[in-house]
Amino acid sequence: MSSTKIFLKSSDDKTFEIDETAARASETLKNIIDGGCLDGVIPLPNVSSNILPKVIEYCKKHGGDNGSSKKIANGGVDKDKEILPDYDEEEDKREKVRVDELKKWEEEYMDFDQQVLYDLMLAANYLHIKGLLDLTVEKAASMIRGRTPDQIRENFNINSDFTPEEEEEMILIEDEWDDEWAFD
Amino acid sequence: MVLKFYIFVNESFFLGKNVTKSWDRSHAMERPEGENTYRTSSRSLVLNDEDLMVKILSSLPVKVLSRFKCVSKQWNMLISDPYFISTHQGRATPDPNIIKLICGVNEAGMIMVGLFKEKEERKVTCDLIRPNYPDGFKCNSIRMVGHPCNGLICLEDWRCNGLVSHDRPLILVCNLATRNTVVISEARRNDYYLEGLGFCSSSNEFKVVRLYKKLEGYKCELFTVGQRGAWGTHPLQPSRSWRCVGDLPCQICHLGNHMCHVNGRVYWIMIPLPHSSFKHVLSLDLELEEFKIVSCPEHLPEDARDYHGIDLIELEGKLCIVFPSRDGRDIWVLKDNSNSFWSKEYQINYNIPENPYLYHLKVVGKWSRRLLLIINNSKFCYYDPRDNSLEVIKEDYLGSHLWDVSIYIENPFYTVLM
Repeated sequence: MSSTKIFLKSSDDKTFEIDETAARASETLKNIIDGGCLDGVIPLPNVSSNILPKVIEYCKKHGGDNGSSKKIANGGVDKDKEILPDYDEEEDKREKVRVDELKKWEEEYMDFDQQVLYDLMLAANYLHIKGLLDLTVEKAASMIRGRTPDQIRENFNINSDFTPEEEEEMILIEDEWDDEWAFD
Repeated sequence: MVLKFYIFVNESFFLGKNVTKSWDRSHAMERPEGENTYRTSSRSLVLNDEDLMVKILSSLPVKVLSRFKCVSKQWNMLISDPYFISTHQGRATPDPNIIKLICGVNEAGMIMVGLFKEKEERKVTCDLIRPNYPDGFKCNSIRMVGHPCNGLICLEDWRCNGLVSHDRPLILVCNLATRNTVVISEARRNDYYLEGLGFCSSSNEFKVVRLYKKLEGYKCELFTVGQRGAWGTHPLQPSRSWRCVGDLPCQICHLGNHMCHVNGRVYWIMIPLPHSSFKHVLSLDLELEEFKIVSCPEHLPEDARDYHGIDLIELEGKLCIVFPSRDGRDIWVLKDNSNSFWSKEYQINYNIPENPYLYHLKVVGKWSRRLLLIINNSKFCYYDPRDNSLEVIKEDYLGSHLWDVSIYIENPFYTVLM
């Protein structure tokens, strides 16, 4: 099945081309396409031209498997899977290879700096691309994980709005939690 | 005038310098100068999007979150918010490899927490955790009451030095994850039955339930336990005393089974009045503080002595009633509270040739699609409802003293207050 092309316009008026099947990875775009409001170019005022190609790259990788191959297979299989917990072993192996390959791709894809990360997260949120949103959220979480509150403030440009007394109490609570940690 | 202006300029210059300095450190290296303003806004857009922040923060472990509470009031509010807590709990609980069970309290006041790990090979261990008892607290005859509720447990200590009737018991509430413990009341009387904890999510309050035996029936009292609210919001005021919410509208079965808490309601098994065919479960809504009677799926025996083995438990957020059957136990799940719709979801067949009343079978909970059972107060078993198989996990765990074992999901977010 050859797919129709869709044109997306970034916030700075640059136009990009994407296959319809790939565009369907985004809930927002999918609704626009299904809604039939498609006349030529879809304007995306919240996504800039240096982020949009990155988004399209993700959709190309993931839009395909949402669309054609899986959809055909899904009809009956999904229901069976719920009743029978043990899957076909061969199927399992193939699935594993596919997942491993995808993981590797994601690793390379996600190799960018912090600036891009937040832009991409906002774009994924705006376009409702769940997989991409999860990826970016996960990366953001892993980046802030090891930081101190001071580093967080600096990174996000937050001013601490606690009064000195409140701050003292917060530190007290924090210590309490630290000392009394029962499980990990 | 001139001086003032000068100071103003000086200050803003200073501030400006400060800001650029922090920018320098974190990202000036990554991007050309001109793009910084745009970039800043993308980051603060994420920061101001509560849904995104909840998503990011909820994938962090609790220990990290406790540290991030002091970043700012906004972060503290977010992390302390009941909605966030429930999102985080939802993510944190289904670790299929580990289950924690509270197996009781020892003489020294240490809580026995059983840990079952199923990763690679099975590991069964037991931790002893000592709550932060108040200064000068010396436990005498401490026990846990009811089931844990959102990570909190209720304890009761009787000072029995042979003079039980003159002594007043101490009631405590403890969060085992932080060990934060408060004495909620030194009871004025000792002729009550402490039932345990419940949680009312709309008001974000824990309530301790106790009953007084009257000439006929019981009187019910609640004690609201406050907890530390988020900064910027008013901390919830704990009630300083027990409050009566009325008489139980019927007799309840009080033979070794506790009240059961599920989603803001507590339940008891009712004993029907003589010659009445209505067999029911009594519920108390902790928010409305109203009693309601829920019809039972099966007829309960008329004689209270026959209630052996009938139990109320929570499975996957639903109330369940366990009935002894000829070959084991039947478990009915309350699917719809408003019109008392029950469905028989599990049948445990435990065929032993002897008299089934000689063994004691308790359903503890559900874990990774299997039911966790305790047989004869000493043996932990899995029961797989899909193929009726029974697998012994551990025999003679902690001797034969497994009476009240409950699945425990830690929740370090609640700090109880007095």
